Amino acid sequence: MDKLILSKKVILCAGTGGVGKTTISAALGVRAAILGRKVLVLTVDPAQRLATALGINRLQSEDLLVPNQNFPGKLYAAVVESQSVFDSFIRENIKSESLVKKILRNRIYLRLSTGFSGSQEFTALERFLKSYTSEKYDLIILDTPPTGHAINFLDGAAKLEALFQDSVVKWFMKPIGNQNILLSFVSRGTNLAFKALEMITGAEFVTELVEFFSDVFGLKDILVQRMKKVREIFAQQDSAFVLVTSFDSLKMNEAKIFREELMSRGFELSAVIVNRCFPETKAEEIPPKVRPYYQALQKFYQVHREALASLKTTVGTGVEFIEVSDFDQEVYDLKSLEELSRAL
Amino acid sequence: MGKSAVSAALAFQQASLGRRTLLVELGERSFFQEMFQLPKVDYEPTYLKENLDVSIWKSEKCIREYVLHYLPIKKLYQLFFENRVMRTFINAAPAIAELAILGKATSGVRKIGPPMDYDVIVIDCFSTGHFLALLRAPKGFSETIKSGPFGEQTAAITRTMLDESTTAYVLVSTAETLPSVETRELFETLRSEFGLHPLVICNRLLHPPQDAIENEQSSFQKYLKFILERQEKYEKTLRELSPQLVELPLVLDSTGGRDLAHQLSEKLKDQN
Repeated sequence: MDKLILSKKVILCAGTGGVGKTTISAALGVRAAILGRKVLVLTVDPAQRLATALGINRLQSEDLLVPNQNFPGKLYAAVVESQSVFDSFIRENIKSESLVKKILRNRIYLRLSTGFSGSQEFTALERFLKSYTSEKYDLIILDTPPTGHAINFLDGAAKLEALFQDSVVKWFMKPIGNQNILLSFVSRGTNLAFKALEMITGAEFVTELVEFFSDVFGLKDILVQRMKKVREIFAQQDSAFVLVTSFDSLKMNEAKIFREELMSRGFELSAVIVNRCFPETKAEEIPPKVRPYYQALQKFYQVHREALASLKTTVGTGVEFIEVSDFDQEVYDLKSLEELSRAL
Repeated sequence: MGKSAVSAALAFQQASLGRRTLLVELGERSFFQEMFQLPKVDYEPTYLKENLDVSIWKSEKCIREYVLHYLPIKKLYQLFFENRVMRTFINAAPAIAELAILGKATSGVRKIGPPMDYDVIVIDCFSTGHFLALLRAPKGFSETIKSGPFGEQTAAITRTMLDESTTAYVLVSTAETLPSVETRELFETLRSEFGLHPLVICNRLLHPPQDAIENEQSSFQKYLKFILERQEKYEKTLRELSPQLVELPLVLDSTGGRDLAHQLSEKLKDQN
């Protein structure tokens, strides 16, 4: 991984939940700092697992210089706080202070910034873009939001973009000077659909919805532009996608799909980190009393071993494979992260 | 963590007690289809074994069923879903999918919507972050929408969900650092935020022979020693959280998904 760490500006760690992606991202960060780079590890995980792995109890939403480090480079870490990223996005892109205040109070907005599907992906990418354009770091490692499917984080923001499309926003917008919302719509179909929404959600909700969409009109262009910029950065030569997967045949099958999906979007997969591998040894080195148990475990892991071999064949050359043994996984402080980073 | 396998084992155990059981998975892609080698797992229940059916609740299907409940006039319903804008909104809207899933899960108890002929529903839920979003959805909604049919339904869903005489919560962990930390955080959040008392299951425990790590010399024995020490440490952490901790082994000799679920369900039975 050293070659990637030294040559890239951005490393994106993708993978499904529960594969140890956050820990691997942190370990990559440590490795980069050991190699002398000024590196930021950005994680979106709300359970703050990175904080645990880095041995600090709390991470602010601002970039934080990880304490007690003694590396040639410097290691920074931050947690993407969806709400605060969204709030700054509104503050920075809406000029009227009273309008900003109004939006931040709107209950639809309060749900949007944390509850809309795609919000977490958007805020992660927006937060990344800010750190990237600040040019403060040699390398940014982005631990992508955990998704059911590794590729979903790239599409998540698109959902939000679709929601902010003019047609949608206009549809909900309150016509200026007209307080009677429902009567102002010309299309009878639209009017009926609105009534249907009102039947389900209540008039109060519809009113706030209309207010919200009227207020954020105009943000869509900025949102779309910023996400476009992010995709451009990801497609550049100095960005690398790393897939973290666990030693599990089902997860490894997903890795194949992930690579295809990446390629179809014009991105390239640089490395696959297979986490928590069962360390195989020669059976004759094991005392006879434990040998049957070793063989039972080995047999249990056989199907996963075969899936890994098949994955390597499918992916072919040009993608680096790194197997991390389950042995190296006891991560509770910076020192243990340093040990794990050696495996990378 | 093996959450899906444990969910399946719980469903197998309930079915073996003679209860009509529905095993449900959430999300867009079926895991159980592969695990149980079924031709298809869909929204409509598929027969798995005696007393046990399996379903996948994709959010769009749940939303449709949920909305249909409020818009019994077919034309209005069609209008709602054929409207592109409305579809975009519904797909991204805060908590609507979550609410529809919970609405479906609690519909039997609330005696609302299409009847579901089951004594128990076992749901293989999302992992931590998304699971909390699921639980928080009705609360967020009832704060946004207080009145109207939606508001009333939301309140009823919340009541059913938080009533521990009808709904039980099971957290699946392993005896490793990060999973046990995450389980502890989730356990405490469920207790403080929702007043819930989840059952904790520690999965995938290794049980090598008694003397396996005596005079450990080989790298495999060192590995085992490391695993066993870690296991002991975090099992203790989990037991402090929940004294009724349920222990499940890493099943090394299963012949497939059904056998795995069966073996685990037998272990669950042993521990009552």
